[in-house]
Amino acid sequence: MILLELKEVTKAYIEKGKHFSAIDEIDLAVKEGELVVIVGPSGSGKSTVVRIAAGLVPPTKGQVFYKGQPLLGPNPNASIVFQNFALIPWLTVQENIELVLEARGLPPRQRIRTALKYIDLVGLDSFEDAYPRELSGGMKQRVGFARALAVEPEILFMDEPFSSLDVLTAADLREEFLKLWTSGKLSIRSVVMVTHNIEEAIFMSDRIVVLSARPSKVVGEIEVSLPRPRDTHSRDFESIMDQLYSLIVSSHISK
Amino acid sequence: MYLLSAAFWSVIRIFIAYFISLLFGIIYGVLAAMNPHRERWIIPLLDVLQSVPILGFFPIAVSLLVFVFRGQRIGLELAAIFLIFTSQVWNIAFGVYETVKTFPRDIAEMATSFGMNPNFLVKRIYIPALIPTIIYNSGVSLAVGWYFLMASEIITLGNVEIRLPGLGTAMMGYVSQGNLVGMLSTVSSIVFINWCTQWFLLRPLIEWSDLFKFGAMGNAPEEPGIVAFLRNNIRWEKLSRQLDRIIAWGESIRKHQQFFSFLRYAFYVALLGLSAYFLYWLARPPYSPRFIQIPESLIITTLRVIIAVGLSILLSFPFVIKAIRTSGAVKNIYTLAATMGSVPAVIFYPLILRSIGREYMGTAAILLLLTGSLWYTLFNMLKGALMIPSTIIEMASNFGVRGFLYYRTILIPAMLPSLITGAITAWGGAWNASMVAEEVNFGREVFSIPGIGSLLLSSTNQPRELLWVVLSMTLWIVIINTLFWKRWYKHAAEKYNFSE
Repeated sequence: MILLELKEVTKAYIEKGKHFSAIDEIDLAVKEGELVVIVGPSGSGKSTVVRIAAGLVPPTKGQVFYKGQPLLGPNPNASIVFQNFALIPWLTVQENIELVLEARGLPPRQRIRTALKYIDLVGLDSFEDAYPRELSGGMKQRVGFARALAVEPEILFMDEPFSSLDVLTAADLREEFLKLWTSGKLSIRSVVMVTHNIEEAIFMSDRIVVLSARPSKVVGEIEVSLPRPRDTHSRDFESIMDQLYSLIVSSHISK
Repeated sequence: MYLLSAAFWSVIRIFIAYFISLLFGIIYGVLAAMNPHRERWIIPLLDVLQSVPILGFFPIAVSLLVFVFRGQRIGLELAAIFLIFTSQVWNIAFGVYETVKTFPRDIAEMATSFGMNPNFLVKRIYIPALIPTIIYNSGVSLAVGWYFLMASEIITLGNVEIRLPGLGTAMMGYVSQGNLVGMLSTVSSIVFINWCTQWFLLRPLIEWSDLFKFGAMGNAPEEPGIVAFLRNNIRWEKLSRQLDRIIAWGESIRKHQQFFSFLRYAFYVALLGLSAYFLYWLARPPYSPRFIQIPESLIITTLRVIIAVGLSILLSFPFVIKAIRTSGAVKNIYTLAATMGSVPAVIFYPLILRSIGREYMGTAAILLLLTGSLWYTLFNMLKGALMIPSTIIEMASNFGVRGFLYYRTILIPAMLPSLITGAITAWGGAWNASMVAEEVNFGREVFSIPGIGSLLLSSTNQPRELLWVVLSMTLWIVIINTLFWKRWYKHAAEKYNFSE
């Protein structure tokens, strides 16, 4: 079953009287149970695609469908993990999570219970009362994950969630997330992630969608059906890597 | 004893006016920044109101409030509070507006994606995020309130002059007696009270407000006693629920579209009619000889104000450089500036008279304008200097960019947007100060130099002439603001922006 579908979605901006498009007629369908990764050069409209898909930004042309229904505002069944965490500095870890639960209308007791459950799940227990400023980047993003999961969404969007972290922390967090995702403990049914890191894309995804530079179009798709956990040095992994590289390079040359 | 009771009254007035300014500034700034449709008229209106000199509000405040309360003390008190309010509020409103306007995009997106409604967003995210700006600007606003106290506590009604008990009135009394000891003790009371507020109230609050800054690092600051006290003794939950009820009530009114639009049209028609009558009343003969003096006086004062603003920028530089070099200095400079900012201009009059003499009063008036403008450039430039990313400063010292080259290529461009904001507010402050700098009754003598400030003062008991002067002055300031300052600021804000 298709959970999310983008049909001929275009986003255009007008700047200093000039009209230019960030993304151009993008089609994308995300099936249930799927982890889709969108890859593209920096400055392409990757993040814009995610924001349109989550209903934060209306497209200039085209439509977004969620479970077959056109999406008109922020999707209440979706949540987002942000590249720069987007944590509230004056709230503690627990309060940051409780805040979004309160916005969703949960009663106080249930807020505390849910917040603590997800703090535990991402391995932040004993840091409930810390302020974000006192945490390392990796821990901040754990809060970002806990918050996104705590509202128990059906679809999770991740906008370069590991780009602001150092290599080791990023690798750790990636693996932990995949473990949670494959364990079936989470409410989420599909994941859409954006990245410019090719290895990360192959490591995580079921399917990779490649975007061109501005104005972004879909230049190709690659299915990744390697067994998990994946070995980045295996032959199959490397052959997909070559395939992905040539796809990206060819999209550059054709411009 | 006299000064003590005077101080008591003044403190009450200043703080009531300040709380109203706070409330008004937050509501006005948030409303303006949240809706682009509203923003289009609300911000130009703020620009115009800010340009009206404090004495320009006099006729409205006095005639309306005194009329409503039939000359009772409460009406006069409210008029005085209103005048203090007009000197404090714009600074806060603009700060709030700018902060909401430059709100981090990812936080706003986070709020939308988790389904926070506007009411929730304002209460839980915008208002806390405003705390650093509000506290920083409060220091300035309180100082300015003290600075203009003399202009606020003495209320002229036609030929009758009513003096409310307070330090401003006391000051005016000593000035007109030529009593130097009295003047000095009044000024020291003002400075002392203001210093206490800055030192015991605002300093700990500024430190604490770092908690509310996006992207701040390191240990969380401790909560000062006053915050804990306020939190434990006010029932915020209840207050918040009341607020929700008011907002819900407002929303339910808005649903009656037809009635609402009828009301709006009725309001527009009434406004149009009133302004037409007002213009007729203003434009009909007889014309006073004062009208001819307006252009000339405007130009003289403009020249003085320009020099004062230029000097303010120059004089702020050493402090800014000191603040960048030594990390702890900022707080001290801030407290010093916020304390000195309350010293009224008039105290410098006898000083200048004795040292320079009457012949040079025109030049000396520039120094008096400085007392109303310097603090604005200093505050804003300090703010700007602190926002320069530390990587840029490190880069400069790493590559040996020093001395004049450093100032010319790094420091000045980096803080240009806030330097211009400082210059704009200093420009407004200097215009306001011209009211108190260009004419003083000292002892039996009246010292007056030509300019728009003294022209305005001399026409306070003729409402029509006063309005002529005030309106032409406001128009002139607004024209220069839009033709010059705004353009320059926009250019600088685009070109010297650190966010990528």
